[in-house]
Amino acid sequence: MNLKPTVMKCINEEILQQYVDGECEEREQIAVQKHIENCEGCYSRWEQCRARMIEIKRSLNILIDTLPAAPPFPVPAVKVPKRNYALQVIVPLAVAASLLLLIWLGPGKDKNSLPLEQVLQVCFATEVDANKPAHQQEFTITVVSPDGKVSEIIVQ
Amino acid sequence: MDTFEKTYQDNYNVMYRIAIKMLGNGSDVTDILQDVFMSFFEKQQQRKRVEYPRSWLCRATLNKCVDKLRKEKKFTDAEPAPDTEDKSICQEKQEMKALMSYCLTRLSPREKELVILYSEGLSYKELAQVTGIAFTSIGKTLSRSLKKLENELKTHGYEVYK
Ligand SMILES: [Zn+2]
Repeated sequence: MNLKPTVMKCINEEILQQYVDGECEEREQIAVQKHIENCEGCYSRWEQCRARMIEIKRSLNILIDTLPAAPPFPVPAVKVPKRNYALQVIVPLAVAASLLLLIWLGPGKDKNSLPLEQVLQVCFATEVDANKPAHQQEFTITVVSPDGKVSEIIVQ
Repeated sequence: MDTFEKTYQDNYNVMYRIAIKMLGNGSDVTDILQDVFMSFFEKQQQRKRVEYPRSWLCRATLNKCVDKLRKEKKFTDAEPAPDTEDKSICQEKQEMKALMSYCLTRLSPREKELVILYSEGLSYKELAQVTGIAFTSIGKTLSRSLKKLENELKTHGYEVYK
């Protein structure tokens, strides 16, 4: 905006309103202030505008008698989450698959690790927590080896 | 992001005031506010991002109020201006309220919303977000709306400056 404080034209209603509401940019605000101090007409319009702002706000507030305290918010009972195929089946399957792959290719392979075919049981349990995004869901994977050793792995 | 409870506590009163100003004194706005905050709660549950919660809540509150006014047909059928002559002092405040509510109905729906939100101290940025009026037009629209309301009040004998 090309505002030169010393030669500023009389202030239009829009700028005056912004000025009264403290919504002018700093440079503009200084220019308006300077002008008002030196122009009787604009000074009187500024007074009017300011009085209007104060009085309308005050008048509207007579509509409010008392303010009640916010009542306790009735938090709805947690809904039973709908069966989410992606979360309950695909993701655990993917996790289990990668885990098996890890066991298979893992560093323990050349020692006492079991070949893939001998890992007899892999169970995974999921309980979808509706309050958490997908990437924060927990899965428990239980691996039972043929010698009966049970390992439980929690994946987050 | 604030918790739901904090947003609720921080904004309940403002939404209450906006709803009363929209509907007139004596209206029951409890249901409206519960609906509004429930929608907000569900939005958060669904992890839908609300960038400006206060603006969102203002918009939702105004919408619910407009719905209610429509249902009550107050929105279209203009009421006669309340008679303000010869009133006892104890009646005076009620009369002023009725008159104020009436004068607000003389504004366009958009002007009415703007003036009410303005009276709640919303910034121009927030006013633009809630009303959909361009930010650069807020000053102009506001100036016009405030003058219009002032004229309505004066015309109907409301003593604006006393
Ligand atoms: Zn001037």
